[in-house]
Amino acid sequence: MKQTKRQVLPSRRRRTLRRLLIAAAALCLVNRIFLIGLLFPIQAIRQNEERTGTGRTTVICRDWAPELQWSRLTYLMGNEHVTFLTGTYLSYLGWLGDSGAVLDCSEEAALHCGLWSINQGDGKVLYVFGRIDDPAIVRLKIQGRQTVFSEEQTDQVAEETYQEWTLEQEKWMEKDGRRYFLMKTVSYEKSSWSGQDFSVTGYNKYDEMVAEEKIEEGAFTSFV
Amino acid sequence: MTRQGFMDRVLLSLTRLTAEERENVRQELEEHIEDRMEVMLEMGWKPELAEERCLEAMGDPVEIGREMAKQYRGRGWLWLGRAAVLLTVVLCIQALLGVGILFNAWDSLEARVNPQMGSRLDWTESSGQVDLRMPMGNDVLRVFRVSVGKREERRVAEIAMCAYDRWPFGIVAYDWQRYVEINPPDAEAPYRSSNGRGSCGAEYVQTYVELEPGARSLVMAYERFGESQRLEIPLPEGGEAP
Amino acid sequence: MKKNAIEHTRLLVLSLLVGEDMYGYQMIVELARRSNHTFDMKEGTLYPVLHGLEQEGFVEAYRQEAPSGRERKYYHLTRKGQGALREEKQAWERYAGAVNDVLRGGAEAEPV
Repeated sequence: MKQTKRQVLPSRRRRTLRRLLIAAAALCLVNRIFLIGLLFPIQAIRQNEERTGTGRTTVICRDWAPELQWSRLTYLMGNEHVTFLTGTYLSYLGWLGDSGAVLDCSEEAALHCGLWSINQGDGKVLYVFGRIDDPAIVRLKIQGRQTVFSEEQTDQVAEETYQEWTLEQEKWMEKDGRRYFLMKTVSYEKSSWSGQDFSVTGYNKYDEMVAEEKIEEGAFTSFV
Repeated sequence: MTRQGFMDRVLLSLTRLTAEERENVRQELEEHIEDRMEVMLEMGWKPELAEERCLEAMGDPVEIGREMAKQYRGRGWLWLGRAAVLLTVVLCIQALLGVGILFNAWDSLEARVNPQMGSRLDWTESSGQVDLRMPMGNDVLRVFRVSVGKREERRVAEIAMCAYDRWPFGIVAYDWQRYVEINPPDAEAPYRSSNGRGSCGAEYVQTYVELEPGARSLVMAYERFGESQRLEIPLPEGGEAP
Repeated sequence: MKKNAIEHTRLLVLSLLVGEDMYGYQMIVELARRSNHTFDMKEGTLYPVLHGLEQEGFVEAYRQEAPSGRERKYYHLTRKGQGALREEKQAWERYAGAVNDVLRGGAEAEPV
């Protein structure tokens, strides 16, 4: 029978299991209480959901944007009432999130749209995204003004261009019976760049305009 | 061969062991020799001869070392353990860097237990502590004080409320105020204003709604992302307009 | 004899620890005593066996004061070790039984 047994000397296996247990406990603690040290990007997205109050959403698509940062991921999320463009990137504090742009789609409309402009590192990315609720729409045209500010005087406009993109139905995504779109444009302009006055127009198969929405919801994220 | 020489020969094969494990082996073999020596010295052997005999009885040091090294072949375990230690250290550093978030948790807990906000009424007619809660997505909106009084020459009701996440270490959704409206039942308030303070843990807001004479209650409505909530706020008893 | 002893050393060590926890030198002494000095293995080769059993989880080790007054590394048979002992014992008994059967068979093959 065991008497007063002293401390057992651990074997390699036991020592490793103990270390793994401690690491797992520390991970749980730091994730739930300090809200950092996230190992997976989706955890950061869930945090973004909390921050914007959207509730649980599902991933519609992912976009890797190395132009901004080597690990940058942009997620298009959605549920019945919300369409949400959000993102995350890996830092020394784990995966960190940016809230992005949220669309409240609980009201009836043919088209919901929003945009998100991100400046990080050397790159600038503009996303236009949304949900198409009108089944008649088969083609989208996105129009907007891109302004480039001069390098010397950051409030002076150097160049303005009107741009147009067309998105056919094949390029759209479908989830739970709802159709979503995401357009991305990249700029490497040295000087400051912003997207303004954007609107999205929906056309049916006869090329007739069915709906036009001016983009009201936008987010602008900048890492200086 | 000396005892030291014997040990060195054995340890030569144990390069794949950690320093701690090697020392463990050395100590154990040392102790064994010690025990045997004691017995032999008691029997009357001379120390030098005894040591020689002991080492001979132990066996071939190279063979012992080789066999011993084979037992510690779990390389994978070692590195897995080291990776776990590294992860733990990194997490601790991250926690230290993010320690500010604990203040948010404090705010969140305080809002649940003892919400406070200074009244900004110029003159208070009546006031009452309440605890009315309304769910707002993953957060809770709690009205903790209702007062009636005067502010900027108008007779208003001051609704003091705070919003916090259901999880004490969670974040309140930002921008909720845009979607919360307080009105008299069946009407829109003619005048409204508000002020507030807060952190990610808890946000405090005081809203002022102008009152019609005889108003007994107000209705707070929240609508966002397909969620509709409604809360009735009774006005405190006592005191009428001067 | 030496080769066989090493092969069966695991079985011998495990069975030694059934009764009580022991340290290395104690095991050598006990082994010699029980087998009437039939097993004459090189003492140092016991330790790789012990460490192997320890790493596999069949025995646990701890340090404790020995009767001599000094501290020694004691070994204890674990549950897992008891199972391993059972298995090795069964294997040995099968082997020994087979040898006995063959020998008996040889003795019986005498003209009736």
